[in-house]
Amino acid sequence: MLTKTLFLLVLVSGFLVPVYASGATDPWIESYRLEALAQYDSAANSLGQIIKEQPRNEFAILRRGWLSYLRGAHNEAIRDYQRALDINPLSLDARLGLMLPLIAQQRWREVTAHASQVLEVSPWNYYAHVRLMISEEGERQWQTLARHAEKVHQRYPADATVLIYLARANDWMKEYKKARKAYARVLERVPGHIEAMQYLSRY
Amino acid sequence: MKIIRVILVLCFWFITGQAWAVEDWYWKGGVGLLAKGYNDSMKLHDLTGIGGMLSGDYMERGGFVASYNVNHINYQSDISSDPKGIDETILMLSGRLNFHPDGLSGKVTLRLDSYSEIDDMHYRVTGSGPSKKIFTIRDSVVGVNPIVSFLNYAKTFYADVGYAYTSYRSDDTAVDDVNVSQWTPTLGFGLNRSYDWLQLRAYLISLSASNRVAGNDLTSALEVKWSHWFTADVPLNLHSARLAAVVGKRIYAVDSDAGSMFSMPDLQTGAISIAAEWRLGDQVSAVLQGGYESYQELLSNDRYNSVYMYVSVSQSW
Repeated sequence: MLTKTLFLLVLVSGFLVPVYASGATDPWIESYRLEALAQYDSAANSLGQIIKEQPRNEFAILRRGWLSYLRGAHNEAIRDYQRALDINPLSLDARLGLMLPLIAQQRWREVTAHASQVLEVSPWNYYAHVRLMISEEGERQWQTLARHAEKVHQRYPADATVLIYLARANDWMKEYKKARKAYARVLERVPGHIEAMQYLSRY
Repeated sequence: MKIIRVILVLCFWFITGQAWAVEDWYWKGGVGLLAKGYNDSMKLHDLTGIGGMLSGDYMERGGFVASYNVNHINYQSDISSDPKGIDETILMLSGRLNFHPDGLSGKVTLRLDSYSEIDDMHYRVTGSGPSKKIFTIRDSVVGVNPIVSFLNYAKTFYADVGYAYTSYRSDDTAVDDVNVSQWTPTLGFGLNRSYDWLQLRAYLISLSASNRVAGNDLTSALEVKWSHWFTADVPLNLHSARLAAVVGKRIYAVDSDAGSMFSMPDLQTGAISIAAEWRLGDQVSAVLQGGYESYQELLSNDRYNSVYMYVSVSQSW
């Protein structure tokens, strides 16, 4: 009887342990949970085992790149996004993600190159345009930025971010009337927008 | 020449270490003209020069600069013991690598410049007239100038430390060789949202014993540069303007901003210059620079000054 009970216990525990293990230590769940707690380093580490077992798991690498970016490990983020791009050269996710740490490192030419490649296949990709505008602002190409923001605004008329770049470019070019008009439109879309309010109260 | 080979090897290493795409290179080429007149000098009369440069940047990862300059210096014609003139040929090669360490909120650049200069001094043997013989004595100068720099992402702070070692060799056995060590700690500050830039660079130069420098073994100077970039509604459509001044004394200095060496064995006792840059379209720019420099000739104590004008045009692609 005792032998039979022990056998059953072992059998049941054999089913229970994997269920417990997959429930408590699922690396995906764990990485999302830790990201929500802003523990980006631990969230990235929780994906380590998946990437070790599946070195070409594109999504796990992309996600670790994102988490590395969030914790300010920009070089690690660049390596992971680049690796994801090597696995899937068609990935717009990887190329758009790669731009984030490059922007953080102010590598404007590289940002421009990647944005241009996204826009080649997806001409009105919002994120590529916004990240390209950040690069144009970093390079102080005010005329280019103003023209670019105007065009993107026509495609995304409800968006406030594009109008911010339009306003900044016009301000730098001393086109104050146009800058005020753009900031006023920002306030219609985002009432209380700090930058727009400060500008309009000053000028 | 060994130094130039090292630079070439580093450039080759940099080039072969990258996954290249032709469209990821940013090129710039330009030509420049220099004219300088000397006042109150017992020896020097004028200098004219022409040069060309090519630079290539691979994205923001690194790049190189190569420049080649030819100058001709005319001496006062009535002094027979001095050269009739000097022909200077200067080759500069520079390579740099940029790093973006996560622990620093800025960019670190390792840069290595090398210089090779040949100065042919032409002497008149006797008398005057075109039929008289002229002989030439050659001075050879080599220099290497590694620089480590840091620029923060906000572009409000810059610092670098440069060390330059230059060696002057002469074919003339009566002229001692001289080796020059130069340290150049530099600080830069961005103001007015980085549309103004103030740079302070100290020149700490030590010289080996040589009859070229009349016992001077240490000189020091401070260079102050203020640059301003314009945005719109600018008089004369200027893109930027720069004012620079040097106080103190320096000799055989290596100027890493200009990519040049001071090969004359005279003590610079002060300098001031002003420069303006215009953008002639999206890819073409022109620079006009004028300056005044004062010198002291070490062996004779002859004090003189020079006024120069430099103009250059460059194209990016």
